[in-house]
Formats: sequence, C-alpha cells, structure tokens
Amino acid sequence: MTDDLSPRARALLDAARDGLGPDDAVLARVRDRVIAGGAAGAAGAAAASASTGGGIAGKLAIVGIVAAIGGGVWLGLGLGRAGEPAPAASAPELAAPVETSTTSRFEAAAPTAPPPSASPLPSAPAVARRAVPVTAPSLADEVAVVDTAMAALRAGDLQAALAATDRHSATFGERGQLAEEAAALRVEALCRLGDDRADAGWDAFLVRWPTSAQQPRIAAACKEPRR
Amino acid sequence: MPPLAQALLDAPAVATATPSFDEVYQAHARFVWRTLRTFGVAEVQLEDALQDVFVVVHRRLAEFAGRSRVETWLFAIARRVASQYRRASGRAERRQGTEDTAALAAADDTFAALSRAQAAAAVAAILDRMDEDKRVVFALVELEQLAVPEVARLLGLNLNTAYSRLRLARRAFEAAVAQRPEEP
Repeated sequence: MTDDLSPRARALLDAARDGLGPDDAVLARVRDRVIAGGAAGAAGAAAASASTGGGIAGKLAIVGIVAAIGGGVWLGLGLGRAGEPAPAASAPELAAPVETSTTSRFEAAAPTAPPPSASPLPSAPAVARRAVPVTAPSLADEVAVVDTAMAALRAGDLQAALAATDRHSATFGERGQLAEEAAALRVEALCRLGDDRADAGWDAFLVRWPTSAQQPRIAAACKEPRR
Repeated sequence: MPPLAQALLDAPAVATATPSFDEVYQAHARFVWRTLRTFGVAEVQLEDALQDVFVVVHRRLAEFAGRSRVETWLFAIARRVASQYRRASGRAERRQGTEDTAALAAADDTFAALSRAQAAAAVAAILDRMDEDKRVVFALVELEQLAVPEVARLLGLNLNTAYSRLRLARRAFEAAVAQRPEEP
C-alpha cells in the first residue's frame, strides 16, 4: 500500500535514530531541573499549609468531605462516558496542589497568565461543578448548549462560544455526557482568541481525556494564533 | 523494535499502574524529544521544550493515573508544547510549502564517513523541509517504528490518509537520499 524505502534510505534512518535524540547530559540536566522545581514547589506548599494552619490541605479535606457527601448524587447520575474511568480523587478541582512553583519556561515568561487550572474548563467556577442540581437537566438541554457553542465557533463568535461552554460547565459539570466535547470547544475557542488560559485548558483536557478523538481538532485550532 | 513501538503494540489498553516520574522519563524522554522535533520545535529550543513537557508530566502524573497508555499521553503533551513553541517562534509558516527534493539533498554533507550525528543531521535536514503533515507520519512510522494504524489513531487521521501521507513522505525522502553522493 505504501512504497517502501530503499535499503540505503533505511540505513540512513537507522543511523540517524539515536542521533536525533538528546545526549545523556541533556537528559540528566532537564530531569534535574524538573525534579528540583517540583521539590521546591512541594516544599513551598507544605510551608504555606503549615503557616496557615491547613491551607490547601485543609481545603482539600473540605472538598473531600463535600465530594463524599455528594458522591451518592454523582453516582446516581451515572453519566460517565463508556470507556472513560470515573474520576476519583483526581477530579480536576482536587488537583490544585499540583500548581507548584514548578513552571515551564512559557509559563514563567507569561506573568499575566493565570495559573494553569487542572480543569478542562478553566474559567468555570469550581464550585459550580460540585453543585449538583436537584433536577438534572436533560440530555436535550445539554445538546442544545453544545450546539450553541459549536454554532458560535463556526460563526467566529468566540466569546459566545466561551459563554456557551461556561453554561455547560455550570449546568452539567464534568459529568455531562458531552463534557468532553464542551471542553474541546472551550480550548478551541481560547486558542483562537489567543487567550492565556488556552494552554492550561489544553493540558487539563489531555489529562482528563488522553485518548480523545477531539485532540486533532484542538491541535489544529491551536496551531497558530488567530487573533 | 524500539521499546515505544513494542509497548504500544503489546500493552493493554489501560495501564495497570501509574509508573513513577523517573520511570516515565527514562523510558520516554528521547521519544518526546524526537516528537517535539518532528512537530517543528527548533533545535535550540528542544531542551526547553522537553523540560516543559516533563514539568506537565511531573505535575499531572498522579492525576493521570493510567487513563491511557503513557506513551499516548506523552505524545499529546509533546504536540501541545510544540504548538506553543511554534506559535511563539512563528516557524510554522516558514516550514510550509518549502519541500524541494533537490534542495533537500544539497543541504547536507556527503553520505561518506557517516557518523551517527551526521546521519541525524542529514535526516533532520530532510525532514525539516517536508510538509508537516507528511513529516509527522513519516517520523512516527520510520523513526519511532509505530504501526500505521497506531499513527492514524494518534493523529486522528483516516487510515487511508495516513498511508497516503506516508507514501508521499517516503518518496520525498527517497528522492532526497538518491541525490546525495553515494557513500563509499
């Protein structure tokens, strides 16, 4: 089905393969920087926690209690997608402590950018995702919101698309059956806007839906700045 | 077969345990580096980009918790980071439409006395002049030795499209190699 390479071309590739990678010194240097950054961040977080009598740990405990109380409701909704494991303690709002002083160079170079959120819907209030309505909105309602976001994107009305995905997040949270699609639309809109939250949103999306078929779409939208 | 390709072929769809950061780094840092390069990160920025990828991994590994194969996740992060670098540097547009097999062949040193580094430089120069769509498929198949269906899945391509891009990329690569002086 595909023309194969000649032995000569293949030999060149074989010879090149290792050389196209970094050398051991570079690997060690990068690894040390990443680990050092993480350790510094963890130490900072621990110090902050100690000095505030709980800090993030305290918030986590509260969130954990809330999650435990709300767990029955979440489970009752049962809206996880087929093949996707149900988020456990790794729910995005519980990932806040990972925001340490370990920063990528781009993050460090962009002081105006908000800290990357672990949520695929970074601008949505975290509380909203935990607030489960007594009467769950219907799937038709959810489809309508996502359709609105898609239509806005197609029309180039990126703010309207963001607003629609915000509505989705506030109403359906991550348990929505179209949460993945809504999150992808949000990242796409943020990228097309050149919004600083795009990269954090994309990272969070990759964590939540690492094998999503939406990834190429996001990659295409985020390839170049549109505005 | 390289470890990555073997892992993608053999591993179950869902990992049974989350590896440690060091395990991930040791096993896959070189793959991430090459992926970043394939997606157009400039040579001088590769080290920084590699760091950025693994900062994300370091932060998110526990949260990731085996939601997919680690390799798939790393690939996606690397693509995201590469996109960020390209947006910053504006290199992407310069890469488009510059494929010219004659120029590809002329860009490199002779094939004689080929060291690993020289081979890498030669291949890099050829790949740099390919359109990205073809370059990515070619690199994943020919350098990382992934199966074409796996590449199609990673990139969200129709299988026939992946094969088509691979075929065109192979022809371009072959043409570039053919125009180089024969090695002794």
